[in-house]
Amino acid sequence: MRVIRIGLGLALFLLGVMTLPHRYCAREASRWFEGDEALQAELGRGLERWVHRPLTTAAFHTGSASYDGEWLFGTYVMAGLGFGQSALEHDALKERHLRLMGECIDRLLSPEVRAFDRQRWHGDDPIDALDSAADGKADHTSYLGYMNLVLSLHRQLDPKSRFAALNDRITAHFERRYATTLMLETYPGERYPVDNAAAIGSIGLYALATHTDHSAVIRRWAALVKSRYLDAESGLLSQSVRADGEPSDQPRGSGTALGAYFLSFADPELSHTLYLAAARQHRTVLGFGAIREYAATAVAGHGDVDSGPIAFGFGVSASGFSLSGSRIHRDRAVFSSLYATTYLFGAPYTSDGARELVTGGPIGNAILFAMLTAQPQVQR
Amino acid sequence: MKRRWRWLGFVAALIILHGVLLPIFAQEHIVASLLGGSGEAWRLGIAVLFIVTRLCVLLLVPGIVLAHVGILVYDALRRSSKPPQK
Repeated sequence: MRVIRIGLGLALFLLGVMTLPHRYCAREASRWFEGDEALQAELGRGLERWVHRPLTTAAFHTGSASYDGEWLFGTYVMAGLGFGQSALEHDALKERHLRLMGECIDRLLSPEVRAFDRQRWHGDDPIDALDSAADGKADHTSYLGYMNLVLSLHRQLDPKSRFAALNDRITAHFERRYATTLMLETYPGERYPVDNAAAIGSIGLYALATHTDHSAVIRRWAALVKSRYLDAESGLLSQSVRADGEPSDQPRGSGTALGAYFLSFADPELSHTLYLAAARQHRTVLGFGAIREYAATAVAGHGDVDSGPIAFGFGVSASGFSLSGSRIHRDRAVFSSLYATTYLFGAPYTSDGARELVTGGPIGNAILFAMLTAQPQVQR
Repeated sequence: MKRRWRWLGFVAALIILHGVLLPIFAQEHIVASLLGGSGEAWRLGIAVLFIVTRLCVLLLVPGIVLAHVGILVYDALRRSSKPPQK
């Protein structure tokens, strides 16, 4: 009898562990997937607290001053995109979130936030260089590509955007640069397809916002990526490219998932292709979903600042970024399983109507705000 | 019976501890402080304790509760099916 009792207890314990936790953690996934206004507003209020601090590079401690600067910049970019996307989805949030988006852009334009790019480009400032003799030599895709995404989205929401002139200048800069080469430099000598995807996404969004035709450059860039930078076996996007145009790193889940998000603004078909490649690396453990950073068939590499920590082959960044692709391309099952993992490790906490993922810090909260509010129908 | 209540008491304590740590974790901005370079021992301690508690509460507690409820039902059925002793 004792054996039966122990066996029954063990069987029920395993049943409980395998069936209940992921369902509990994913209980809000459907509301996020459908774009619930109350949830978006709550997380937006949480981000508002971070934006109003304001943050400095001292808020980060990556061990590299350059990465600290990138994280500060990335926090305002992702927060701005989250505010813009939720404003696009809900008229009731539009006024407040458009104002907050403007505050993010003001911070992005501050010398302190621009400093990381200026330092990597040997003192060449990304904004000042737009109208100087240096324009045409320095790509500044790190700063300008991401910045222009936020500017173009702001313009789509507000055609009379106070940043319209800057948006025109940056888009013209990219048009000029892409006329000479299709893989621009993030930093001197460094080329990353995902950063170029941000720049191309910003051009696509600019075209939507201004009702102008920029399809030629988008088509040429997409053709290059399809022919050279998608892994033949896994379909994942190459992470970095050498000066001669050859891939210099393994294709990876983090770059692919983030690229799928950026390209949804410019080339939904290529975005879908990239998302499907990332989704093929999706696995579940006890119902909790995650995305492998390196293809299951490839030799696994180490985690870095792009991938975040890698545990058992699963990448934190690849999993988080894939929330956006699964929402954009209406893959409810993958979204739900990834959200369950986000809930488990992110630990959302709501106080005074503001929600925060308590283990995320400023950049984690900003990224998840952008990913969870990614728009399935941004072109409306 | 005593052992069973000890288990359930442990489960209740874990849930309460998680409930107490979550707002502390949020209000003290533990992660932001650690990211900002603050390696104070109490923050690290709370971070580790919180993560362990959360994983236990969300992953293991449902199984523990289900197993105990199942065994309670099993024991009750067994007792009710035994002929009354004289």
